[in-house]
Amino acid sequence: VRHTTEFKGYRKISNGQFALDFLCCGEHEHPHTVGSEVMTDPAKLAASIEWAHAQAKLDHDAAQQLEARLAALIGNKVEHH
Amino acid sequence: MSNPLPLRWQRGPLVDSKGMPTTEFARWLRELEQKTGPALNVNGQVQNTAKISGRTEQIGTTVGGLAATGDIKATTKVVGRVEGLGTTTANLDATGKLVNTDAIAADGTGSPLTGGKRGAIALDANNRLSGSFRANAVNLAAVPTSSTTLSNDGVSTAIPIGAFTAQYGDGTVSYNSGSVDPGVFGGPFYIYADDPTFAGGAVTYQFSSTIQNQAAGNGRVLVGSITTVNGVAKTGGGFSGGTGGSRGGRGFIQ
Repeated sequence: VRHTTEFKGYRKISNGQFALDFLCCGEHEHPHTVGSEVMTDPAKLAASIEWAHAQAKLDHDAAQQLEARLAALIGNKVEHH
Repeated sequence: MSNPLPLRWQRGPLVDSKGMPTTEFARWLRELEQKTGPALNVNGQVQNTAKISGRTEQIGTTVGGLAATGDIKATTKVVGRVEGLGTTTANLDATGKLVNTDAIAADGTGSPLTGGKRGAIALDANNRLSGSFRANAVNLAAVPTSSTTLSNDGVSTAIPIGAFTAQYGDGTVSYNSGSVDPGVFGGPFYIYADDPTFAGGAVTYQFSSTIQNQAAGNGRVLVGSITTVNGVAKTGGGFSGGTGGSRGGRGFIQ
């Protein structure tokens, strides 16, 4: 299934950490927090953001699959004697 | 002009020898017209321009605040106020009581009864908190319902946090998934989020390698800890602590 993830923004939180907000398909949020080790190293930051994109996609995919499994069960009937 | 008009004309004829009104009778008619003309219309109804003795405004103004039934209109104002009586009395019930404690005006620092209402909701009959969700103390017990919530693949330093549910005395609270990235392997990394109102849902996860930081904020939800190793996949958090960490919860510090 195709997904589109987007890095929506960031804000500074405590301990030198930054909260990064990702959104998959415009609806599924994925918060990703990075520490000072990541923020001070451009290569680590780029890798972390790339990883978060992929994780946001995985999360959304998993959530959709769960809902699909439930949706598939709607309408099931069981006959009792 | 006297009131009532003197009836001197009754002492003599109404008209003279030519059939004209006598002077006395004509004066009486003139004075009667002067009195009733401004006050009554041709149908004998009081004109709205008439004035009540001792008042300066016309009677149409005087009774303008009354409805056809004699009731006071909602738009009628009390002297010195700008709002209508309907607004003034909107927060009173039929017995004259306030319909809501929030209808008491603020005293400059907020409405005291609003605070009282909050207190009444939060306390039970024994003046104790009505439930554990009313407390934001850090040592409020909760246990995750999943065996693990944290993981690391041994390749990236990032730590995914699976969506999880925490069991409290008042019920369960579910939190969305997320992730943190310390940027290095090692740990243990203690992962937590602040949720003082037990709202659940989307939260901002934080991490620390200092164990005390798990208790450094009221309303802190502990996801657990995980120690990551380059090249080795690990799990943590949840109610088991997984293969590389400790359990999560609340007031459940390992």
